[in-house]
Amino acid sequence: MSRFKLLFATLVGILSFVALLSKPACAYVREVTASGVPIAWKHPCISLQLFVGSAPPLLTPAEYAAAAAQAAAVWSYPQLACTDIRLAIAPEDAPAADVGNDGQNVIVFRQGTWCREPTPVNDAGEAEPACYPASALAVTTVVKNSKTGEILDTDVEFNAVDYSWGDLEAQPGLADGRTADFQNTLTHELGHVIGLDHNCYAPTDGQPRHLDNNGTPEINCYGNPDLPDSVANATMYPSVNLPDTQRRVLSADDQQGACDIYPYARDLCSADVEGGGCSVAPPAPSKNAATLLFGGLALGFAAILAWRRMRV
Amino acid sequence: MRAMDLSELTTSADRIVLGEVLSTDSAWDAKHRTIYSTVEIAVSESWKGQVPESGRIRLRHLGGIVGEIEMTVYGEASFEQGERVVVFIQGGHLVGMGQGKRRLGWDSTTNRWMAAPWDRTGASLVGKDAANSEGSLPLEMLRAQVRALVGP
Repeated sequence: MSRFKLLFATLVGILSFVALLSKPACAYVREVTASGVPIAWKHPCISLQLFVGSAPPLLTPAEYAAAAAQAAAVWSYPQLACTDIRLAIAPEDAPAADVGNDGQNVIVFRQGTWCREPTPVNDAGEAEPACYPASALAVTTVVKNSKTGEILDTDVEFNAVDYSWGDLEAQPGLADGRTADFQNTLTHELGHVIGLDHNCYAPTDGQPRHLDNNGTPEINCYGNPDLPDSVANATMYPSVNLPDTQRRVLSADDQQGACDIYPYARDLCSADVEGGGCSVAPPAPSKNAATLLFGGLALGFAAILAWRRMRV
Repeated sequence: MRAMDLSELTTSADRIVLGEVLSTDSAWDAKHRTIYSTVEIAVSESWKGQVPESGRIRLRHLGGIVGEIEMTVYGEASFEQGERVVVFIQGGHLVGMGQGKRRLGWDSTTNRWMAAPWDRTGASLVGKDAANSEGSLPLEMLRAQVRALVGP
């Protein structure tokens, strides 16, 4: 093969590769501070304490911990090869930290009262109960630096006072109108934990309409009969049915969000975070990119063969 | 978040008022773990419950900004000074977190006040159709519906 033909085939291959990459871009929305700064963790290795002693009645402590680990894994390297984020679930027998700005991230079920524990005390020294409405299944709190967007602390509280929680994939018969799938809900909340917002707009309260990652105003999901499935089926979609288990699996949009905010760069966790548990193998080559590149080159050589036949 | 309908909101509230936000103030709790915001509202109409002689009420909600630190509790409302609102209050807090706030906006095409649906930006709703329910409502319609639910 002459140099010219090789050059031609390579050029066609590269152009095909670029064309394949320019398919409709994934859309996700990042959470921003009040001043509009996108939020993210400074270090991508995030530990979340899980109080297995507070496991809801329909889950054993082992099932509870396993479901949480699976919810964390779908957002994390290595299951998501293109990201550096690693959410590590640390099971604890008893609460070792509170909800709030203490640098300790917790996942906890509230079973006695649907309130923050311990009860906050105001500056006057008076107890000020912080209870949530029965209509709230789970509440995620994110503390961040308003100027830099750095996430400082996140906590997820589940309401086991007004709802039951189980594994509805293994036991769909548990769905009774007040039982939700724990892994499904936690997967969504962990999207907030890493800095993702809901993937569509609620034109309700004068809140600013955010831009998605493509710079496009986020799509309106309220009263929109043309809502694409890619939005409605994403984990970060703001509406689900109680027995839903579909959000356990990230959509392409959700994955793109995690990978864009925390692109795989190097093993930051073992280098920067004490305590281990986060060291990882080198990144697997991107299967999609390799497939596309190979496909592009194949197209290039096919083009040159066709060109040769035309000349014959 | 399970969406509460107007009937449930009204029944759950011990006070429902229309007013203007005079101020918002955020502060840490004593342990510096939780940020609370205090919202002061000048009441122009009371639809349920008593209003102090001052004509002002205060409500508290989780979250806010103190210095450079911002705490967001997904599902909670946020308030801005000067905005007109209808709020459903129970024990000094909004009913159903953000569900208890309706922002009012002037519609220049119809020349009337409209009550926006509650701020669902941060809330995850339960129910397949939850994301497609409820639009803005003329203020007079909301007032009539609430008063009918409250009764004489």
